[in-house]
Amino acid sequence: MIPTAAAAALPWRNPVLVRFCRSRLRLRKSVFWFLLTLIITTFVVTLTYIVRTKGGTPAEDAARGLWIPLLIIQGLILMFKGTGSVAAGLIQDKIDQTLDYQRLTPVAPLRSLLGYLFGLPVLEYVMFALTLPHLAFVVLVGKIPAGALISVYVAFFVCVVLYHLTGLAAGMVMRRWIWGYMLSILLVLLVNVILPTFVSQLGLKFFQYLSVWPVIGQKVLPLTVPAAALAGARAQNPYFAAGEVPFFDWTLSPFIFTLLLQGALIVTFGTMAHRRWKSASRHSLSKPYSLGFLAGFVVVLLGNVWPIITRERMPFPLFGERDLDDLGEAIAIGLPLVYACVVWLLCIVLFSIVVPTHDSYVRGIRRAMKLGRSSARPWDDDAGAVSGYAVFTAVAVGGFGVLLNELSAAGFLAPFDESQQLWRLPVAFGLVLFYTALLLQALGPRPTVLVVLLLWLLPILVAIVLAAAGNDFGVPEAVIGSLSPIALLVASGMLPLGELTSGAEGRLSAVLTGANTGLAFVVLQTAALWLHWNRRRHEYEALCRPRDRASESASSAGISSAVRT
Amino acid sequence: MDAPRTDTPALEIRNLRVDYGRFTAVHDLSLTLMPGEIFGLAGPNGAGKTSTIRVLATLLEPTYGEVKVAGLDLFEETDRAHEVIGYMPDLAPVIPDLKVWEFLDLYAHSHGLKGRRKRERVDACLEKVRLTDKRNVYGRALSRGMTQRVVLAKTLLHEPKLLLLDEPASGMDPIARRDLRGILEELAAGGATILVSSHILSELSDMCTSVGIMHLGRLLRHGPKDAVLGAIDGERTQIRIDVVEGAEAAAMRLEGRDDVDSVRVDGTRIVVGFRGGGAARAALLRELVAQGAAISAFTPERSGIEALLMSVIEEDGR
Repeated sequence: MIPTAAAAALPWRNPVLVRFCRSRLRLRKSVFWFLLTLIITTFVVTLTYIVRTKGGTPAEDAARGLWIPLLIIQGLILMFKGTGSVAAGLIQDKIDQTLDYQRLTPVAPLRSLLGYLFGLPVLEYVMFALTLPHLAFVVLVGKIPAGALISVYVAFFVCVVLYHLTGLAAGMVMRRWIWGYMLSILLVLLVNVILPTFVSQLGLKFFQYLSVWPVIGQKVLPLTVPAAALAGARAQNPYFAAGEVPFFDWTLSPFIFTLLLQGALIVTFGTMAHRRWKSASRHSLSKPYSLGFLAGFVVVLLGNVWPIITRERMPFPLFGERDLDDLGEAIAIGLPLVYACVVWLLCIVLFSIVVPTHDSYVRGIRRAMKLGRSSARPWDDDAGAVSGYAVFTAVAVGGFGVLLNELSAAGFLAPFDESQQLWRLPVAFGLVLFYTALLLQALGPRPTVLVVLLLWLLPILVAIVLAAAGNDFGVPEAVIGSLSPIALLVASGMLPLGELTSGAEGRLSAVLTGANTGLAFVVLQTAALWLHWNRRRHEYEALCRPRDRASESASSAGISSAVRT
Repeated sequence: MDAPRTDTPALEIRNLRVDYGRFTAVHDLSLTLMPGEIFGLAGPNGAGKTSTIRVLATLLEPTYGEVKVAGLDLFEETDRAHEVIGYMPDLAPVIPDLKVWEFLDLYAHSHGLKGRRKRERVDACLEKVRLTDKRNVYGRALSRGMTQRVVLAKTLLHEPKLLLLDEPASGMDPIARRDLRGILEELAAGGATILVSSHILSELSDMCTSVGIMHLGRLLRHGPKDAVLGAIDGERTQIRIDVVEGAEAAAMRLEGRDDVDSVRVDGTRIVVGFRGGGAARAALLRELVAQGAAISAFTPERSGIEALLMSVIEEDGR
């Protein structure tokens, strides 16, 4: 006898899953995809195996060599096509309004979401299943150890679920299926190609563990590549940079670290989808969750670069294989700058989620006034409490402080002891973070996009054009460029390094003037935004108060004039 | 779940307010409906009917307000409330790539029906909306009216105690409308409460036991249909009179009458604002014919509720 709760979890007891099995697996529609999968997989496996064995490779090695091509095909099916199907399918249901029907049933939100998560890509799961005979051939002929097989496919499916959840969250937020499809595919490309290739090379190696590549590097490459070639491949290729994952003073297996990191993201995307399922007008994440996410991100980020900032070791090739001592200045200047830029980017995403629009702020005031308060509680979705954004800023700047403290303790900042400019980056970073939140709060999302275009990007472009025209980078170019907070951060971070170099006094002085101007401009903008927001806030409160009284009296008049039963 | 007592209101709304930014769609609406009531919510486009119904269906979060459905707090006990609410949206869609029976099976399954009971319920609801012969047709192949009927069948699957129907008859042919009225009356007789909104007001006057008039987010009048209609100063009707010739002369004669509020001439057509019931209208027609008017058509354009709606809205505007 199966307990009721367990019985409800059975796939065929999930109505949403049954729905997609019916609609997406109709043979007439799906036979093309099934045949395509079989033909391409069989072609790749057969051809590669024949070519290798004919070239003298032993059958076992030739079969093992098929595993990575097979994983790529499986990844294309489930990670790319599957993720796109999830996002596009959910948006289509939202457009058709049939998502509302499901919301109105007594099926628990989690169960409904699981139905969508595994139901929308059910065609891709069957396509994946059609590649299993080929995998069986690889495993049997290649004598693949069970441990490696299990590790790779556990990590593979955790990745797949993460990407599909990304698609689900994108589907919950986006309004047009084509944008949801493209965004989710872009996210998969980002975590599989862009982040491992570029950002992880800047010291933030943990981004690499959002993909399945590190586990492939750890478990598959030793089976498929000769030992000598493997060492070279690992040194060259960021995807397969294997070994243990440094995290503070510990070392973790890539498999475990991948599961932990992706598990945390699965919980986050699951929370986003769940919140939007419960109410389409809610923010995708609450303010406390977002703050916790930011804190967690800062901890992971610091833990990942800890071996470097404590001079323990350089665990991965940063700018090639070089000694830590050779990289002292690059680390002292580069890591804080990378930290500031990456955390700022994350904060932009989080602020765009948690900062309420003016409409929802007004709704929050009305709701609060009805409950006898003057405004929404600071951590409510509809609250526009500036103090909350200050807490976000404090967490980010706190992490920055730890980073600088450790860099200083390890002696990385010794060459800059005489520098008068070390204070600039933390101050600019904190100010820019707070300014970003205030910008979104005071102006709302659409005007903010215009500000980003006109005040964040345009000054940099103008400065570049001026510098190119005059063949020099002087005070005017530096001043104009630093009006952008992006340039301000970079200039603030680079100034101490400029002081160390000689022979560029004029340029250093220009950058210094620019950084001062930029800092003053951000302070001015923050003050202006603060005043603007306070004025709007008072306007909104005034708007709510008299109207409520008027509508109450009108409403009671309406009720009294109604014909009562 | 405890069965609601018969004296428990099927629906209680207190001070419901819905805002879209600075625009208020529903102003502090309060309303109580008892079991067995068919309540018609009338009002022009933008009156706030759909917003009200979407809040009751839990699809829209109100700014504030309390709603109880069969004694359950809608915002605290949402999952339990879903068991007793049936909602049919305006221009209700079906899932295009599911067959009609698969579509109904999905929601029967979602409402916890299983095995033979599920199949029987799907068949019964299909029969009720007269679509048994369309059970294997894909959703995308249904006409607008058939789609409405399929969604009505879906709404009835779990035998809801409170039915929320937003413009349910749009796209239905006259036979389907008559069937819809029969179904709703049957459900109400069984104790279900029905809130139906429409701007095709003649629909409501035929099927409702009570009505409410909404305008610009406010519920201006509500109560039993007869009492609300009786509260209007006489029955106001707009009559369209088509004449073969002599429209201006006939219009002049009409303007002098006490029971005529307004006269407008448009070619050979005269549109008359008239106060009076059926007998008074018959007398008017007799008089016009006796005066020699060559009348080719005499058509009262508004039902009682339409007249009521216009009257209340005009009154509100003043």
